[in-house]
Amino acid sequence: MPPVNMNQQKPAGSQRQKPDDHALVERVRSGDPLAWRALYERYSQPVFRFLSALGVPAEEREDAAQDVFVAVFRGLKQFRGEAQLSTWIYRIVARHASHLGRRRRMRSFLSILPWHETEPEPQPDPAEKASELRLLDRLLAKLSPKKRMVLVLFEIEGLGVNEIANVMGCPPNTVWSRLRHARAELVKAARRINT
Amino acid sequence: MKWLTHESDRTEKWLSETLEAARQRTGDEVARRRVWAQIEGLPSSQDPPARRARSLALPALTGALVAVGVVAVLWMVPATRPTHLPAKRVAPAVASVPQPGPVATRIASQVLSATPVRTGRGEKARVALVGGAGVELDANSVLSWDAEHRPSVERGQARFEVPHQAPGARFAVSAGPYVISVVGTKFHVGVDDDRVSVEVELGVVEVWRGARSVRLVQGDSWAGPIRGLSSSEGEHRPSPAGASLRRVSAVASPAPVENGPAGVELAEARTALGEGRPEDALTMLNHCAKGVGPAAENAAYEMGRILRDGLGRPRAAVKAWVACRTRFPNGLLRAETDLSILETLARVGDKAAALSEVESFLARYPNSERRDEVTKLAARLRGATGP
Repeated sequence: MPPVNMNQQKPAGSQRQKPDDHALVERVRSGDPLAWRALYERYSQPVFRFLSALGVPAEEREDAAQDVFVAVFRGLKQFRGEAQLSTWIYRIVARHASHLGRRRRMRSFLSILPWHETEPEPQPDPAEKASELRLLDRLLAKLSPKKRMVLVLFEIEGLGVNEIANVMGCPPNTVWSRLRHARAELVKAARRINT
Repeated sequence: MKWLTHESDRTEKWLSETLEAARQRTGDEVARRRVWAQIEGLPSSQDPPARRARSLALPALTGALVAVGVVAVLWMVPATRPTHLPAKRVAPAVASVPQPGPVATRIASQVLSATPVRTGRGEKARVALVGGAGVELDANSVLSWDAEHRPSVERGQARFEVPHQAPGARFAVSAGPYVISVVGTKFHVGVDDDRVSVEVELGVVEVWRGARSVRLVQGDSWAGPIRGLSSSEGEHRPSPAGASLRRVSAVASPAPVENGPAGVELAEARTALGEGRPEDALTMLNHCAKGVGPAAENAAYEMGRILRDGLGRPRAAVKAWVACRTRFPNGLLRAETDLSILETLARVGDKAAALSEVESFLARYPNSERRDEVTKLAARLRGATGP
Protein backbone atom coordinates (compact mmCIF):
# COMPACT_ATOMS: atom_id res chain seq x y z
CA MET A 1 0.00 0.00 0.00
CA PRO A 2 1.32 3.41 -0.81
CA PRO A 3 1.52 5.88 2.05
CA VAL A 4 -1.74 7.76 2.29
CA ASN A 5 -0.53 10.84 4.01
CA MET A 6 1.49 12.24 1.17
CA ASN A 7 0.65 15.41 -0.57
CA GLN A 8 -0.68 14.00 -3.80
CA GLN A 9 -1.64 17.25 -5.37
CA LYS A 10 -0.07 17.33 -8.79
CA PRO A 11 2.19 20.23 -9.64
CA ALA A 12 1.40 22.54 -12.53
CA GLY A 13 3.53 20.61 -14.98
CA SER A 14 0.98 17.80 -15.09
CA GLN A 15 -1.33 19.86 -17.27
CA ARG A 16 1.03 19.51 -20.17
CA GLN A 17 -0.32 16.27 -21.67
CA LYS A 18 -2.41 17.01 -24.74
CA PRO A 19 -5.18 14.74 -25.96
CA ASP A 20 -4.03 14.61 -29.57
CA ASP A 21 -0.58 13.12 -29.00
CA HIS A 22 -1.45 9.91 -30.80
CA ALA A 23 -2.78 11.78 -33.82
CA LEU A 24 0.44 13.75 -33.85
CA VAL A 25 2.48 10.55 -33.73
CA GLU A 26 0.54 9.17 -36.67
CA ARG A 27 1.19 12.31 -38.69
CA VAL A 28 4.91 12.23 -37.88
CA ARG A 29 5.04 8.56 -38.92
CA SER A 30 3.52 9.50 -42.24
CA GLY A 31 6.34 12.01 -42.78
CA ASP A 32 4.49 15.24 -42.01
CA PRO A 33 7.20 17.83 -41.18
CA LEU A 34 4.68 20.17 -39.55
CA ALA A 35 3.66 17.43 -37.14
CA TRP A 36 7.31 16.79 -36.31
CA ARG A 37 7.71 20.49 -35.59
CA ALA A 38 4.57 20.48 -33.44
CA LEU A 39 5.87 17.49 -31.50
CA TYR A 40 9.18 19.24 -30.96
CA GLU A 41 7.46 22.45 -29.87
CA ARG A 42 5.36 20.49 -27.43
CA TYR A 43 8.12 18.47 -25.83
CA SER A 44 11.35 20.45 -26.24
CA GLN A 45 10.79 22.55 -23.14
CA PRO A 46 9.95 19.58 -20.91
CA VAL A 47 12.93 17.67 -22.31
CA PHE A 48 15.32 20.55 -21.63
CA ARG A 49 13.77 21.13 -18.20
CA PHE A 50 13.98 17.44 -17.30
CA LEU A 51 17.60 17.20 -18.45
CA SER A 52 18.38 20.29 -16.43
CA ALA A 53 16.66 18.97 -13.30
CA LEU A 54 18.50 15.65 -13.66
CA GLY A 55 21.79 17.52 -13.48
CA VAL A 56 22.91 17.35 -17.11
CA PRO A 57 25.28 20.34 -17.32
CA ALA A 58 24.33 23.25 -19.58
CA GLU A 59 27.20 22.55 -21.96
CA GLU A 60 25.99 18.96 -22.54
CA ARG A 61 22.27 19.66 -22.56
CA GLU A 62 21.95 20.67 -26.17
CA ASP A 63 23.65 17.55 -27.47
CA ALA A 64 21.65 15.45 -25.02
CA ALA A 65 18.36 16.96 -26.20
CA GLN A 66 19.35 16.31 -29.78
CA ASP A 67 20.14 12.67 -28.95
CA VAL A 68 16.78 12.35 -27.28
CA PHE A 69 14.81 13.72 -30.22
CA VAL A 70 16.72 11.60 -32.71
CA ALA A 71 15.88 8.58 -30.53
CA VAL A 72 12.27 9.71 -30.33
CA PHE A 73 12.03 10.02 -34.08
CA ARG A 74 13.64 6.65 -34.68
CA GLY A 75 11.51 5.00 -32.02
CA LEU A 76 8.19 6.44 -33.17
CA LYS A 77 7.84 3.62 -35.69
CA GLN A 78 7.85 1.13 -32.84
CA PHE A 79 5.79 3.27 -30.46
CA ARG A 80 2.68 1.22 -29.84
CA GLY A 81 0.77 3.82 -27.90
CA GLU A 82 0.38 1.63 -24.85
CA ALA A 83 1.92 4.33 -22.69
CA GLN A 84 1.37 8.04 -23.04
CA LEU A 85 3.74 9.71 -25.47
CA SER A 86 5.06 11.91 -22.65
CA THR A 87 5.84 8.85 -20.51
CA TRP A 88 7.71 7.26 -23.38
CA ILE A 89 9.72 10.43 -24.04
CA TYR A 90 10.50 10.81 -20.33
CA ARG A 91 11.79 7.25 -20.35
CA ILE A 92 14.15 8.06 -23.21
CA VAL A 93 15.37 11.21 -21.46
CA ALA A 94 15.81 9.37 -18.16
CA ARG A 95 17.82 6.61 -19.81
CA HIS A 96 20.01 9.06 -21.66
CA ALA A 97 20.56 11.28 -18.60
CA SER A 98 21.58 8.18 -16.60
CA HIS A 99 24.03 7.26 -19.33
CA LEU A 100 25.52 10.75 -19.31
CA GLY A 101 25.70 10.68 -15.52
CA ARG A 102 27.63 7.40 -15.61
CA ARG A 103 29.99 8.85 -18.18
CA ARG A 104 30.55 11.95 -16.05
CA ARG A 105 31.23 9.84 -12.98
CA MET A 106 33.73 7.77 -14.94
CA ARG A 107 35.48 10.92 -16.14
CA SER A 108 35.44 12.26 -12.62
CA PHE A 109 36.96 9.00 -11.38
CA LEU A 110 39.67 9.17 -14.03
CA SER A 111 40.39 12.80 -13.21
CA ILE A 112 41.79 11.85 -9.79
CA LEU A 113 44.76 10.38 -11.59
CA PRO A 114 47.55 12.92 -11.29
CA TRP A 115 48.25 13.27 -15.00
CA HIS A 116 44.70 13.14 -16.22
CA GLU A 117 43.24 16.21 -17.83
CA THR A 118 40.80 17.97 -15.58
CA GLU A 119 37.14 18.14 -16.51
CA PRO A 120 35.73 21.61 -17.03
CA GLU A 121 33.62 22.77 -14.12
CA PRO A 122 29.92 22.59 -14.89
CA GLN A 123 28.81 25.91 -16.28
CA PRO A 124 25.62 27.43 -14.93
CA ASP A 125 23.05 27.83 -17.63
CA PRO A 126 23.21 31.48 -18.69
CA ALA A 127 19.51 31.36 -19.36
CA GLU A 128 18.80 30.49 -15.76
CA LYS A 129 20.35 33.14 -13.62
CA ALA A 130 18.13 32.64 -10.61
CA SER A 131 20.39 31.75 -7.73
CA GLU A 132 17.54 29.89 -6.01
CA LEU A 133 17.31 27.42 -8.87
CA ARG A 134 21.05 26.90 -8.83
CA LEU A 135 20.83 26.18 -5.12
CA LEU A 136 18.01 23.72 -5.73
CA ASP A 137 20.17 21.99 -8.34
CA ARG A 138 22.94 21.68 -5.78
CA LEU A 139 20.54 20.13 -3.28
CA LEU A 140 19.15 17.73 -5.87
CA ALA A 141 22.70 16.70 -6.73
CA LYS A 142 23.08 15.38 -3.19
CA LEU A 143 20.35 12.78 -3.81
CA SER A 144 21.12 9.43 -5.38
CA PRO A 145 20.31 9.36 -9.12
CA LYS A 146 17.21 7.18 -8.62
CA LYS A 147 15.80 9.29 -5.81
CA ARG A 148 16.53 12.44 -7.74
CA MET A 149 14.73 11.12 -10.78
CA VAL A 150 11.63 10.16 -8.79
CA LEU A 151 11.53 13.50 -7.03
CA VAL A 152 12.01 15.46 -10.23
CA LEU A 153 9.38 13.48 -12.12
CA PHE A 154 6.84 13.87 -9.33
CA GLU A 155 7.52 17.34 -8.01
CA ILE A 156 8.73 19.21 -11.08
CA GLU A 157 7.40 17.31 -14.08
CA GLY A 158 4.13 16.48 -12.36
CA LEU A 159 3.88 12.81 -13.31
CA GLY A 160 1.76 10.42 -11.28
CA VAL A 161 3.30 7.54 -9.38
CA ASN A 162 2.15 4.89 -11.86
CA GLU A 163 3.56 6.90 -14.74
CA ILE A 164 6.87 7.31 -12.90
CA ALA A 165 6.92 3.56 -12.27
CA ASN A 166 6.45 3.10 -15.99
CA VAL A 167 9.27 5.52 -16.81
CA MET A 168 11.68 3.96 -14.34
CA GLY A 169 10.64 0.35 -14.80
CA CYS A 170 9.99 -0.33 -11.13
CA PRO A 171 6.91 -1.07 -8.98
CA PRO A 172 4.81 1.90 -7.78
CA ASN A 173 5.61 1.06 -4.16
CA THR A 174 9.28 1.50 -4.92
CA VAL A 175 8.47 4.91 -6.38
CA TRP A 176 6.60 5.88 -3.21
CA SER A 177 9.46 4.71 -1.08
CA ARG A 178 12.08 6.58 -3.10
CA LEU A 179 9.92 9.68 -3.15
CA ARG A 180 9.49 9.63 0.61
CA HIS A 181 13.22 9.29 1.19
CA ALA A 182 14.08 11.87 -1.46
CA ARG A 183 11.71 14.43 0.06
CA ALA A 184 13.10 13.85 3.52
CA GLU A 185 16.69 14.14 2.32
CA LEU A 186 15.94 17.27 0.32
CA VAL A 187 14.31 19.03 3.28
CA LYS A 188 17.18 17.95 5.52
CA ALA A 189 19.77 19.29 3.09
CA ALA A 190 17.84 22.54 2.66
CA ARG A 191 17.63 23.01 6.44
CA ARG A 192 21.36 22.49 6.71
CA ILE A 193 21.91 25.33 4.26
CA ASN A 194 19.34 27.61 5.86
CA THR A 195 20.81 27.29 9.34
CA MET B 1 4.59 11.97 5.91
CA LYS B 2 4.13 15.71 5.69
CA TRP B 3 5.68 17.61 2.82
CA LEU B 4 6.05 21.35 2.60
CA THR B 5 2.83 22.02 4.44
CA HIS B 6 4.17 24.42 7.07
CA GLU B 7 4.07 27.86 5.54
CA SER B 8 5.60 29.32 8.65
CA ASP B 9 8.64 27.12 8.20
CA ARG B 10 11.20 29.16 6.29
CA THR B 11 12.92 26.17 4.70
CA GLU B 12 9.71 24.51 3.56
CA LYS B 13 8.42 27.79 2.17
CA TRP B 14 11.66 28.30 0.27
CA LEU B 15 11.61 24.75 -1.10
CA SER B 16 7.99 25.05 -2.14
CA GLU B 17 8.62 28.33 -3.98
CA THR B 18 11.81 27.08 -5.61
CA LEU B 19 10.21 23.87 -6.83
CA GLU B 20 7.46 25.99 -8.34
CA ALA B 21 10.11 28.12 -10.05
CA ALA B 22 11.75 24.92 -11.35
CA ARG B 23 8.41 23.89 -12.89
CA GLN B 24 8.34 27.17 -14.76
CA ARG B 25 11.84 26.80 -16.20
CA THR B 26 11.77 27.54 -19.87
CA GLY B 27 15.43 26.86 -20.62
CA ASP B 28 17.48 28.41 -23.33
CA GLU B 29 15.44 29.28 -26.38
CA VAL B 30 18.50 29.59 -28.60
CA ALA B 31 19.64 26.09 -27.60
CA ARG B 32 16.19 24.72 -28.48
CA ARG B 33 16.35 26.45 -31.85
CA ARG B 34 19.79 25.02 -32.53
CA VAL B 35 18.60 21.53 -31.71
CA TRP B 36 15.61 22.03 -33.98
CA ALA B 37 17.92 23.13 -36.79
CA GLN B 38 19.72 19.78 -36.42
CA ILE B 39 16.68 17.53 -36.32
CA GLU B 40 14.29 19.41 -38.56
CA GLY B 41 15.13 17.32 -41.60
CA LEU B 42 14.55 13.93 -39.97
CA PRO B 43 11.13 13.28 -41.55
CA SER B 44 12.58 13.72 -45.03
CA SER B 45 15.71 11.70 -44.35
CA GLN B 46 16.22 8.43 -42.58
CA ASP B 47 19.77 9.41 -41.71
CA PRO B 48 20.28 11.07 -38.36
CA PRO B 49 22.33 14.28 -38.26
CA ALA B 50 26.01 13.61 -38.82
CA ARG B 51 27.03 14.51 -35.30
CA ARG B 52 24.59 11.96 -33.95
CA ALA B 53 26.29 9.02 -35.59
CA ARG B 54 27.32 7.43 -32.33
CA SER B 55 25.03 5.12 -30.48
CA LEU B 56 22.67 6.70 -27.99
CA ALA B 57 23.41 4.29 -25.21
CA LEU B 58 27.01 3.28 -25.09
CA PRO B 59 27.20 0.18 -22.93
CA ALA B 60 28.73 1.00 -19.57
CA LEU B 61 30.85 -2.09 -19.78
CA THR B 62 32.54 -0.87 -22.95
CA GLY B 63 33.23 2.46 -21.31
CA ALA B 64 34.71 0.79 -18.27
CA LEU B 65 36.93 -1.46 -20.40
CA VAL B 66 38.16 1.50 -22.42
CA ALA B 67 38.81 3.41 -19.21
CA VAL B 68 40.80 0.53 -17.77
CA GLY B 69 42.79 0.37 -21.01
CA VAL B 70 43.47 4.10 -20.89
CA VAL B 71 44.55 3.86 -17.27
CA ALA B 72 46.90 1.00 -18.08
CA VAL B 73 48.45 2.90 -20.99
CA LEU B 74 48.85 6.04 -18.92
CA TRP B 75 50.58 4.07 -16.18
CA MET B 76 53.08 2.79 -18.69
CA VAL B 77 53.77 6.15 -20.36
CA PRO B 78 56.14 8.41 -18.41
CA ALA B 79 54.45 11.58 -17.19
CA THR B 80 55.39 14.67 -19.20
CA ARG B 81 53.99 17.15 -16.76
CA PRO B 82 56.01 20.35 -16.47
CA THR B 83 57.58 20.37 -13.09
CA HIS B 84 56.88 23.98 -12.22
CA LEU B 85 53.12 23.62 -12.45
CA PRO B 86 51.30 22.76 -9.24
CA ALA B 87 50.01 19.26 -8.80
CA LYS B 88 46.61 20.30 -7.47
CA ARG B 89 43.99 20.85 -10.09
CA VAL B 90 40.97 23.04 -9.48
CA ALA B 91 40.72 24.72 -12.78
CA PRO B 92 38.45 26.98 -14.68
CA ALA B 93 40.84 26.13 -17.44
CA VAL B 94 41.90 22.66 -18.28
CA ALA B 95 43.36 20.26 -20.69
CA SER B 96 45.28 20.71 -23.79
CA VAL B 97 46.18 18.90 -26.95
CA PRO B 98 49.63 18.79 -28.45
CA GLN B 99 49.99 20.88 -31.55
CA PRO B 100 51.52 19.31 -34.61
CA GLY B 101 54.32 21.23 -36.24
CA PRO B 102 57.95 22.03 -35.90
CA VAL B 103 57.67 23.73 -32.55
CA ALA B 104 57.66 21.69 -29.42
CA THR B 105 54.35 21.66 -27.65
CA ARG B 106 53.80 21.65 -23.96
CA ILE B 107 50.75 20.18 -22.38
CA ALA B 108 49.33 22.64 -19.91
CA SER B 109 47.14 20.16 -18.19
CA GLN B 110 47.21 21.57 -14.71
CA VAL B 111 46.09 25.08 -14.14
CA LEU B 112 44.91 26.63 -10.94
CA SER B 113 42.37 29.38 -11.29
CA ALA B 114 44.96 31.89 -10.14
CA THR B 115 47.89 30.24 -11.86
CA PRO B 116 48.91 31.70 -15.20
CA VAL B 117 49.65 29.42 -18.13
CA ARG B 118 53.02 30.32 -19.62
CA THR B 119 54.59 29.12 -22.79
CA GLY B 120 58.31 29.41 -23.37
CA ARG B 121 60.27 29.69 -26.58
CA GLY B 122 59.10 27.15 -29.13
CA GLU B 123 56.20 26.05 -26.96
CA LYS B 124 52.48 26.17 -27.61
CA ALA B 125 49.57 25.31 -25.37
CA ARG B 126 45.91 24.73 -25.91
CA VAL B 127 43.74 25.44 -22.90
CA ALA B 128 40.07 24.54 -22.60
CA LEU B 129 37.96 27.04 -20.74
CA VAL B 130 34.64 26.46 -19.05
CA GLY B 131 31.61 26.59 -21.28
CA GLY B 132 33.26 24.95 -24.26
CA ALA B 133 35.55 27.86 -25.13
CA GLY B 134 39.18 27.21 -25.94
CA VAL B 135 42.37 29.17 -26.38
CA GLU B 136 45.59 28.37 -28.20
CA LEU B 137 48.59 30.10 -26.72
CA ASP B 138 51.49 30.86 -29.00
CA ALA B 139 55.13 30.75 -27.92
CA ASN B 140 56.31 33.20 -25.26
CA SER B 141 52.78 33.95 -24.08
CA VAL B 142 51.08 34.22 -20.71
CA LEU B 143 47.40 33.62 -19.98
CA SER B 144 46.04 34.35 -16.52
CA TRP B 145 42.72 35.24 -14.91
CA ASP B 146 41.71 38.71 -13.80
CA ALA B 147 39.86 39.75 -10.67
CA GLU B 148 36.54 38.99 -12.33
CA HIS B 149 37.75 35.48 -13.29
CA ARG B 150 37.96 36.37 -16.96
CA PRO B 151 40.83 34.93 -18.97
CA SER B 152 43.46 37.60 -19.40
CA VAL B 153 46.16 37.68 -22.05
CA GLU B 154 49.17 39.09 -20.23
CA ARG B 155 51.69 38.72 -23.01
CA GLY B 156 52.09 37.16 -26.43
CA GLN B 157 49.52 35.80 -28.86
CA ALA B 158 46.36 33.86 -28.15
CA ARG B 159 43.66 32.55 -30.44
CA PHE B 160 40.25 32.16 -28.81
CA GLU B 161 37.42 30.01 -30.04
CA VAL B 162 34.16 30.71 -28.26
CA PRO B 163 30.93 28.77 -28.85
CA HIS B 164 27.76 30.76 -29.30
CA GLN B 165 26.53 32.08 -25.98
CA ALA B 166 22.91 32.15 -24.93
CA PRO B 167 21.08 35.48 -25.05
CA GLY B 168 22.14 37.55 -22.09
CA ALA B 169 25.44 35.76 -21.77
CA ARG B 170 28.77 37.06 -23.01
CA PHE B 171 32.25 35.71 -22.98
CA ALA B 172 34.88 38.26 -22.06
CA VAL B 173 38.66 38.26 -22.29
CA SER B 174 40.83 40.99 -20.83
CA ALA B 175 44.05 42.25 -22.38
CA GLY B 176 45.82 45.13 -20.70
CA PRO B 177 43.26 47.89 -20.12
CA TYR B 178 40.87 46.43 -22.71
CA VAL B 179 38.10 43.90 -22.42
CA ILE B 180 37.03 41.93 -25.47
CA SER B 181 33.40 40.89 -25.28
CA VAL B 182 31.85 38.29 -27.55
CA VAL B 183 28.75 36.19 -28.02
CA GLY B 184 30.39 33.45 -30.05
CA THR B 185 33.36 33.77 -32.37
CA LYS B 186 36.99 33.04 -33.17
CA PHE B 187 39.52 35.78 -32.65
CA HIS B 188 43.18 36.44 -31.94
CA VAL B 189 44.49 38.60 -29.13
CA GLY B 190 48.06 39.85 -29.04
CA VAL B 191 49.71 41.74 -26.22
CA ASP B 192 53.21 43.14 -26.31
CA ASP B 193 54.93 45.74 -24.16
CA ASP B 194 52.90 48.70 -25.34
CA ARG B 195 50.09 47.48 -27.56
CA VAL B 196 47.05 45.21 -27.58
CA SER B 197 45.84 43.87 -30.91
CA VAL B 198 42.70 41.95 -31.86
CA GLU B 199 41.92 40.18 -35.13
CA VAL B 200 38.51 38.68 -35.79
CA GLU B 201 38.47 35.39 -37.66
CA LEU B 202 34.76 34.73 -37.35
CA GLY B 203 31.76 36.47 -35.79
CA VAL B 204 31.64 39.80 -34.01
CA VAL B 205 33.58 41.11 -31.03
CA GLU B 206 33.52 44.32 -29.06
CA VAL B 207 36.68 45.74 -27.56
CA TRP B 208 36.04 47.87 -24.52
CA ARG B 209 38.14 50.26 -22.57
CA GLY B 210 36.33 51.89 -19.71
CA ALA B 211 33.01 53.08 -21.07
CA ARG B 212 33.89 53.11 -24.73
CA SER B 213 33.93 50.37 -27.28
CA VAL B 214 34.96 49.42 -30.77
CA ARG B 215 33.00 46.82 -32.67
CA LEU B 216 34.87 44.47 -35.00
CA VAL B 217 33.39 42.06 -37.50
CA GLN B 218 34.84 39.13 -39.39
CA GLY B 219 38.13 40.05 -41.07
CA ASP B 220 38.64 43.24 -39.04
CA SER B 221 41.72 43.91 -37.00
CA TRP B 222 42.39 46.53 -34.38
CA ALA B 223 45.23 47.68 -32.18
CA GLY B 224 45.33 50.01 -29.22
CA PRO B 225 48.01 51.23 -26.87
CA ILE B 226 48.26 49.87 -23.38
CA ARG B 227 49.31 53.16 -21.83
CA GLY B 228 49.12 56.84 -22.53
CA LEU B 229 45.70 57.23 -24.13
CA SER B 230 42.38 58.05 -22.67
CA SER B 231 39.86 55.27 -22.58
CA SER B 232 38.26 56.29 -25.82
CA GLU B 233 41.32 56.24 -28.00
CA GLY B 234 42.96 53.51 -29.95
CA GLU B 235 44.79 53.13 -33.18
CA HIS B 236 43.33 51.11 -35.94
CA ARG B 237 44.95 49.42 -38.82
CA PRO B 238 43.13 47.75 -41.64
CA SER B 239 43.43 44.02 -41.85
CA PRO B 240 45.62 42.53 -44.57
CA ALA B 241 42.46 41.71 -46.45
CA GLY B 242 41.58 45.36 -46.38
CA ALA B 243 38.36 44.82 -44.49
CA SER B 244 36.73 47.99 -43.32
CA LEU B 245 36.89 48.88 -39.70
CA ARG B 246 33.60 49.99 -38.30
CA ARG B 247 33.70 52.04 -35.21
CA VAL B 248 30.79 52.31 -32.86
CA SER B 249 30.19 55.64 -31.25
CA ALA B 250 31.10 55.74 -27.62
CA VAL B 251 28.55 54.53 -25.18
CA ALA B 252 28.38 55.01 -21.47
CA SER B 253 27.86 51.50 -20.24
CA PRO B 254 30.02 50.97 -17.19
CA ALA B 255 31.31 47.59 -18.28
CA PRO B 256 31.26 45.23 -21.21
CA VAL B 257 29.72 42.42 -19.27
CA GLU B 258 26.65 42.63 -17.12
CA ASN B 259 28.11 44.37 -14.14
CA GLY B 260 26.98 47.56 -12.53
CA PRO B 261 23.41 48.67 -11.73
CA ALA B 262 22.04 47.67 -15.12
CA GLY B 263 23.45 44.17 -14.75
CA VAL B 264 22.00 43.88 -11.25
CA GLU B 265 18.60 44.98 -12.53
CA LEU B 266 18.80 42.48 -15.35
CA ALA B 267 19.62 39.71 -12.89
CA GLU B 268 16.69 40.76 -10.69
CA ALA B 269 14.38 40.70 -13.69
CA ARG B 270 15.49 37.16 -14.51
CA THR B 271 14.93 36.14 -10.92
CA ALA B 272 11.41 37.59 -11.08
CA LEU B 273 10.82 35.66 -14.29
CA GLY B 274 12.14 32.48 -12.71
CA GLU B 275 9.73 33.02 -9.82
CA GLY B 276 6.79 33.26 -12.18
CA ARG B 277 6.35 37.05 -12.12
CA PRO B 278 6.64 37.97 -15.79
CA GLU B 279 4.88 41.32 -15.37
CA ASP B 280 7.39 42.40 -12.71
CA ALA B 281 10.24 41.14 -14.88
CA LEU B 282 8.89 43.13 -17.79
CA THR B 283 8.75 46.33 -15.75
CA MET B 284 12.33 45.89 -14.59
CA LEU B 285 13.56 45.04 -18.08
CA ASN B 286 11.75 48.04 -19.51
CA HIS B 287 13.61 50.27 -17.10
CA CYS B 288 16.90 48.55 -17.80
CA ALA B 289 16.36 48.75 -21.57
CA LYS B 290 16.20 52.53 -21.37
CA GLY B 291 19.85 52.57 -20.39
CA VAL B 292 22.80 52.03 -22.68
CA GLY B 293 25.29 49.29 -23.38
CA PRO B 294 24.98 45.52 -23.61
CA ALA B 295 22.80 45.14 -20.52
CA ALA B 296 20.22 47.49 -22.10
CA GLU B 297 20.30 45.51 -25.33
CA ASN B 298 19.86 42.23 -23.46
CA ALA B 299 16.96 43.73 -21.53
CA ALA B 300 15.30 45.01 -24.72
CA TYR B 301 15.65 41.57 -26.32
CA GLU B 302 14.36 39.69 -23.31
CA MET B 303 11.27 41.89 -23.13
CA GLY B 304 10.19 40.37 -26.41
CA ARG B 305 10.71 36.85 -25.11
CA ILE B 306 8.65 37.51 -22.01
CA LEU B 307 5.85 39.11 -24.00
CA ARG B 308 5.70 36.17 -26.38
CA ASP B 309 6.47 33.19 -24.15
CA GLY B 310 5.52 34.42 -20.69
CA LEU B 311 2.48 36.53 -21.44
CA GLY B 312 1.29 35.04 -24.72
CA ARG B 313 1.35 38.37 -26.60
CA PRO B 314 3.26 37.64 -29.80
CA ARG B 315 2.26 40.87 -31.59
CA ALA B 316 3.51 42.95 -28.67
CA ALA B 317 6.67 40.84 -28.66
CA VAL B 318 7.33 41.64 -32.31
CA LYS B 319 6.83 45.31 -31.54
CA ALA B 320 9.30 45.10 -28.67
CA TRP B 321 11.92 43.36 -30.83
CA VAL B 322 11.48 45.89 -33.61
CA ALA B 323 12.09 48.63 -31.04
CA CYS B 324 15.12 46.68 -29.82
CA ARG B 325 16.76 46.47 -33.22
CA THR B 326 15.95 50.10 -33.96
CA ARG B 327 17.80 51.11 -30.82
CA PHE B 328 20.64 48.64 -31.28
CA PRO B 329 20.97 48.24 -35.05
CA ASN B 330 24.46 46.75 -34.73
CA GLY B 331 23.98 45.04 -31.40
CA LEU B 332 25.38 41.61 -30.66
CA LEU B 333 21.85 40.26 -30.40
CA ARG B 334 20.74 41.71 -33.72
CA ALA B 335 20.66 38.37 -35.53
CA GLU B 336 18.71 36.71 -32.70
CA THR B 337 16.31 39.63 -32.68
CA ASP B 338 15.71 39.34 -36.42
CA LEU B 339 15.16 35.59 -36.09
CA SER B 340 12.75 36.03 -33.22
CA ILE B 341 10.74 38.54 -35.22
CA LEU B 342 10.45 36.39 -38.32
CA GLU B 343 9.64 33.24 -36.38
CA THR B 344 6.99 34.98 -34.34
CA LEU B 345 5.43 36.56 -37.42
CA ALA B 346 5.31 33.12 -39.04
CA ARG B 347 3.78 31.67 -35.90
CA VAL B 348 0.96 34.23 -35.75
CA GLY B 349 0.25 33.67 -39.44
CA ASP B 350 1.44 37.01 -40.79
CA LYS B 351 3.07 35.32 -43.77
CA ALA B 352 3.73 38.40 -45.86
CA ALA B 353 5.55 40.19 -43.06
CA ALA B 354 7.40 37.01 -42.13
CA LEU B 355 8.56 36.51 -45.73
CA SER B 356 9.73 40.09 -45.89
CA GLU B 357 11.73 39.52 -42.69
CA VAL B 358 13.14 36.29 -44.12
CA GLU B 359 14.40 38.08 -47.21
CA SER B 360 16.00 40.82 -45.11
CA PHE B 361 17.60 38.21 -42.88
CA LEU B 362 19.07 36.23 -45.76
CA ALA B 363 20.40 39.40 -47.35
CA ARG B 364 21.88 40.63 -44.11
CA TYR B 365 23.40 37.33 -42.97
CA PRO B 366 24.33 35.39 -46.11
CA ASN B 367 26.69 33.13 -44.13
CA SER B 368 24.52 32.60 -41.07
CA GLU B 369 24.51 29.12 -39.54
CA ARG B 370 20.72 29.55 -39.44
CA ARG B 371 20.47 30.16 -43.17
CA ASP B 372 19.17 26.67 -43.97
CA GLU B 373 16.60 26.85 -41.25
CA VAL B 374 15.36 30.25 -42.41
CA THR B 375 15.31 29.15 -46.04
CA LYS B 376 13.16 26.16 -45.15
CA LEU B 377 10.82 28.39 -43.19
CA ALA B 378 10.55 30.66 -46.22
CA ALA B 379 9.74 27.69 -48.45
CA ARG B 380 7.00 26.61 -46.08
CA LEU B 381 5.59 30.11 -45.93
CA ARG B 382 5.63 30.42 -49.70
CA GLY B 383 3.96 27.03 -50.01
CA ALA B 384 1.28 28.16 -47.62
CA THR B 385 0.70 31.48 -49.34
CA GLY B 386 0.38 29.88 -52.76
CA PRO B 387 1.82 30.98 -56.09
